[in-house]
Amino acid sequence: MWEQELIPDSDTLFLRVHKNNYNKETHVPRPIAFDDHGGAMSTDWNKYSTPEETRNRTPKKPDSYGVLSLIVKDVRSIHNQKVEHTPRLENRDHTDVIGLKDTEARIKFSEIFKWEILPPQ
Amino acid sequence: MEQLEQKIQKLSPELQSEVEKFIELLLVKRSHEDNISLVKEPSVEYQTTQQRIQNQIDIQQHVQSACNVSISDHEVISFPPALTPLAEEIEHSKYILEFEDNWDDEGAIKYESATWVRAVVYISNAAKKMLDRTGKVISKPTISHGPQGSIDIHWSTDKYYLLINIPMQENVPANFYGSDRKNISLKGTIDTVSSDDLNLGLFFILENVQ
Repeated sequence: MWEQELIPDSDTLFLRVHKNNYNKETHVPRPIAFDDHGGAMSTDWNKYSTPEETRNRTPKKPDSYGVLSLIVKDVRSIHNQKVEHTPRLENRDHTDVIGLKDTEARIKFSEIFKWEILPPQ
Repeated sequence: MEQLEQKIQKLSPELQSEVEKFIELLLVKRSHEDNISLVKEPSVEYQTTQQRIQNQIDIQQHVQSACNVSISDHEVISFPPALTPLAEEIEHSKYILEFEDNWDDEGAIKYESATWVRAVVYISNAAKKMLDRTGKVISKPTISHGPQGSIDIHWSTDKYYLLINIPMQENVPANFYGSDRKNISLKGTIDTVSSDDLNLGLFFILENVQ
């Protein structure tokens, strides 16, 4: 098993975004893109991952997803959000963003993202 | 002729009948011309029918310019021209109702039309009251599907951002968070069912920040 590490503020997290959570008119993720699944928002740490690897890691259909990035310092500045490295055997870069994804958190995430791979049209 | 028939089919039944009557009169007139080769003046009936059709077309165009959005089989929201962008966004947001269960490939549930109706009625009433009382037009939001069957109404402008989340449960109030991107931030709940609690102050503050 991989050891848990401390993630520096200057590093980046990659988040997979389903095509249905992408606004094709405005080219921004819909606020629902920033939501918890299983108690946290799953991301990948850029120390061990690339945007392409993040997109392809889904067991579903990689072609249905885009990938955006979030700077760790910006994430930590959002009310109640904690960034915790949670490596898995097959996924050393796995990182949870823990904290309630209420309207404040979700809209603030939508103000700090940057696209790495646009979801399909 | 086929194109004309298609256009006629799109008209209201009343107008359809008028147009068909008008075409019939034209054909009679044409037949008359062909046979006698001289028609001095259109008949009184012909002129009256033509005027009635023009009146109905005018009425229909006026109704269209007022921007109606159908929100169910028997409910329509009417918007003044200043709120046309909002009406268009509401029309566009009907995509939410087309989602089936598992629309995100991860088991998400589909959306209830009652939730969407509650969201669009709320924002329509708020925008109309704001316009009536202050003459201000609320910026066009984005209406999106939200978590757990809820609906998100989202603004992101140069001056402010705001997210209102309308939950699936009617008895649960909506949550909102907004900021002027400087010093003012607003967070709370709204009763979207009671028409007396539209929280116009929220929009007024954010739309008027310098």
